[in-house]
Amino acid sequence: MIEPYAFAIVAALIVASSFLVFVVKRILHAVIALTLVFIESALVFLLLGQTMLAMLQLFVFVGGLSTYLMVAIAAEMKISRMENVPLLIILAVVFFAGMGAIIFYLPTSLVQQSNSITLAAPQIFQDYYALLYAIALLLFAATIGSALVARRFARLVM
Amino acid sequence: MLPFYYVLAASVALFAIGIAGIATNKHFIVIMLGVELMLVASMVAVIGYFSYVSVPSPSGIVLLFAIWAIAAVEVIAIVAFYVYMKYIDFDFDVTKLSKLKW
Repeated sequence: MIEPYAFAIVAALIVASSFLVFVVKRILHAVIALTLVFIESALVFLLLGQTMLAMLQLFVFVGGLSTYLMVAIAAEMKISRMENVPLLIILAVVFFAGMGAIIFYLPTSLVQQSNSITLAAPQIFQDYYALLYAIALLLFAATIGSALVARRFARLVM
Repeated sequence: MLPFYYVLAASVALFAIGIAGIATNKHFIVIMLGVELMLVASMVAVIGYFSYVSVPSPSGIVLLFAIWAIAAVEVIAIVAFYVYMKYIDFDFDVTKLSKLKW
């Protein structure tokens, strides 16, 4: 009964965050807005009962991709001092309160656990192992390519 | 459980915003972020279909893995392009990219 309202809030946040990606002036702020979209999509997965997929979404997108993007883009910017300390404190308190409310007050009955991934998992590694290997090779090739580009960039610098 | 069209509507909205952002922006990195938004929208749709079928199929999860891998590869490409183009002072305006070779 509370799920439609929770989903409405999360959907509104997703739409607002995705607009922010294109509206903000600085690229780093756009990446932060994209990170918010990733977190809110994980919340959608949670509301659908797919807890493991929500966790994987947080690990892969927020913990991996967003972190990588932010570090790479922030490293190119010359940031020497904090610009707005009161905004920093307000945002930290708001995020802490929001995340604390979700963690401590989210009723367990809200999330209907789904064991669909448990039922499907053994079949994945039997029938789709070739596709999984192809995906792993794709990622490997992309990593090697980025390392080569960085090596060429290092030659230009030195 | 939520009605299925709620999830589909959220996915379509996210996809539409991604397309609109790609069509209206000139900055190379922002366009790539728009593609990321479209990938997230497709993931939400896949999870929605996966959650509402009576018999769970592994092909939905494998498609999800493939989308994750494509998004990761795209982010690697974004960072590599961004660092290189920033160093050579290459303009990020895609409307000025009119030649394939210079």
